[in-house]
Amino acid sequence: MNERIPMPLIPGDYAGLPPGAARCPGPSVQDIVARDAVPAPQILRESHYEFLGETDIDYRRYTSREHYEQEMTHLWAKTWQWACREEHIPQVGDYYVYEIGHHSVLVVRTGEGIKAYYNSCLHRGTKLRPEEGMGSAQELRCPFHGWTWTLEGALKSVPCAWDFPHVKPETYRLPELRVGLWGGFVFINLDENAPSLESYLEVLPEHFRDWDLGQRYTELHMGKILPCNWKTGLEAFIESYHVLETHPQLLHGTGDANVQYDVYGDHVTRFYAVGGVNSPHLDEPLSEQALVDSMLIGDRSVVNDALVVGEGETARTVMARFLRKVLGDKYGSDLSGVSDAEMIDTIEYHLFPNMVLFPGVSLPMVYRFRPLKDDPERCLFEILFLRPLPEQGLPPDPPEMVLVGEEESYSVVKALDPVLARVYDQDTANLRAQQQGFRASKKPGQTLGNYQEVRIRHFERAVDRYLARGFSKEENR
Amino acid sequence: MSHSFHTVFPVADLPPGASKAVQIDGHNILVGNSAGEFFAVQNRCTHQDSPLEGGRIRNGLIACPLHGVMFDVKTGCGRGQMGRVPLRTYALQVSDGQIQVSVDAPVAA
Ligand code: FES
Ligand code: FES
Ligand SMILES: [Fe+2]
Repeated sequence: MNERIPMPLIPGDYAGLPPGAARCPGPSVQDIVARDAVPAPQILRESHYEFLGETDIDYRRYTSREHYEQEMTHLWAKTWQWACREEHIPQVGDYYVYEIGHHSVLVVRTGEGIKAYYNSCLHRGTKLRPEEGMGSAQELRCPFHGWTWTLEGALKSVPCAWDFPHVKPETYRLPELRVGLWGGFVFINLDENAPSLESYLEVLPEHFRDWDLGQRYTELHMGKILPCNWKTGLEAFIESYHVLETHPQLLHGTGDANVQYDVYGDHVTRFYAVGGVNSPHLDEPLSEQALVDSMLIGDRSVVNDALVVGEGETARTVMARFLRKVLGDKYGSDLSGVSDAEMIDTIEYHLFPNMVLFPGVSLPMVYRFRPLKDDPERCLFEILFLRPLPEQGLPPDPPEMVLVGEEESYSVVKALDPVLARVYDQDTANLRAQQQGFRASKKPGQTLGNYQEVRIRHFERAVDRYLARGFSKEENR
Repeated sequence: MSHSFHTVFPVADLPPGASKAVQIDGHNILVGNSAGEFFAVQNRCTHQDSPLEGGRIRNGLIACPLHGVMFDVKTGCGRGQMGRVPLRTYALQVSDGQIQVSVDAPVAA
């Protein structure tokens, strides 16, 4: 499709354009999508970029304990975060412990719906459930002295109750946090005065109107501890600029530089990378047939047949048609109405602070990045695969998280496509070096591309806004 | 040498997710069905001694009804700091639609 496109190697030239206006030469995402056989929904036919500045981003945001503490107080304790999927707690009595920094939240499916409690006993503080993850109970009983609450949070029994005449059951209900549901995710917020989840989500519900993630189930859940700040980790996954250097094997069949970057409101950004086209960086563009052959990433388990590009067809059309059929069969769901773009492209949304989600069918991931306990330079990176719910029968039990060791390859995860394991290994291999480089640097901050790295700038701006709001409240005290 | 297997109850009595306690030669044993696979483990949590009977079984793990510690029903291994001590597991076989458990046969790996 594209010819080899000449590109300058030396930066420093606005070429007469306002900052942020330059784009990679070659067809844009919108040019490519406009020619699709099964057209993309309106939400993918729009772009929403805004120039947000070009000054450097201070490295201390990623290394300093002070910044970390401020984030704990003014960001993590104020924002909506997804704690688990609804399928993690399918029946009354099922619970999920979600931890963020020193906070620990017990999300419980009760007879009165889903509730979230501070995971701390009202007797002497012991965590009611010691570890993160799924579990089940008929009542919430503390392991230390056995104080017990109903699932709905009422004090039920206290051993040697005669010794506690001062403990009135009315005032010893388990304190609750706010809970919100969207797309099959259970969100919590530690701030009782925060705006509603609905308003927090901004454009997301509208964009996902036809991508109901509530109709998916968790097929796979992986975690890995990364030796970097949670923002360092997240920022490596919200730009596609690194593909050229970090994942050269993906250049075939990815319009890597022609990725569209969009920013919305305070909390939402996205990128949109088309598949089935040549990278403008390739010396020798592939034929449409060769593109199809190179695109078999994401779910190789379903590849069972030769894929032939017919007269007048594009690789995109052929690949989308093929995946619609095999993935539809594999997951027992009807994908006939799904556009080419939704079948094969990589569409990635970021919801502030730490949720990254892909509405596509063939790469159906959700990422989450969290600081680990009290270390500004370590984080937990989780990947979930959400597959379409079968039209008949029950989905399998939600899986436990598989932890990939810090020094281990993602290839230890049997259920993961080895092609993707290699990509995640490449991504995570950069991060220790980057985090250490933040400290080694003479230059005080990182420099961002005006277009391809705008989501990072948008994200850091949102961090600043939360911290600034926190400071102004402190001053008013 | 032959090991004695005791017939405990018919397969049909134990649908997926169900578990029932049974006494054999002084052993208090929990026999359960984890997604179609039968297992037999000691019916006393190694955390603080609660019976495990009736604990929810999911993903090959049984959750103790008292404080929620989870144990792998195949290996007996517990999860987390409160599950450091594994459960004893027992050999189990199915014959003629009957579940049979032995207290002295080695447990197949
Ligand atoms: S600390 Fe929970 S019962 Fe004593
Ligand atoms: S006795 Fe089983 S978890 Fe405490
Ligand atoms: Fe990457």
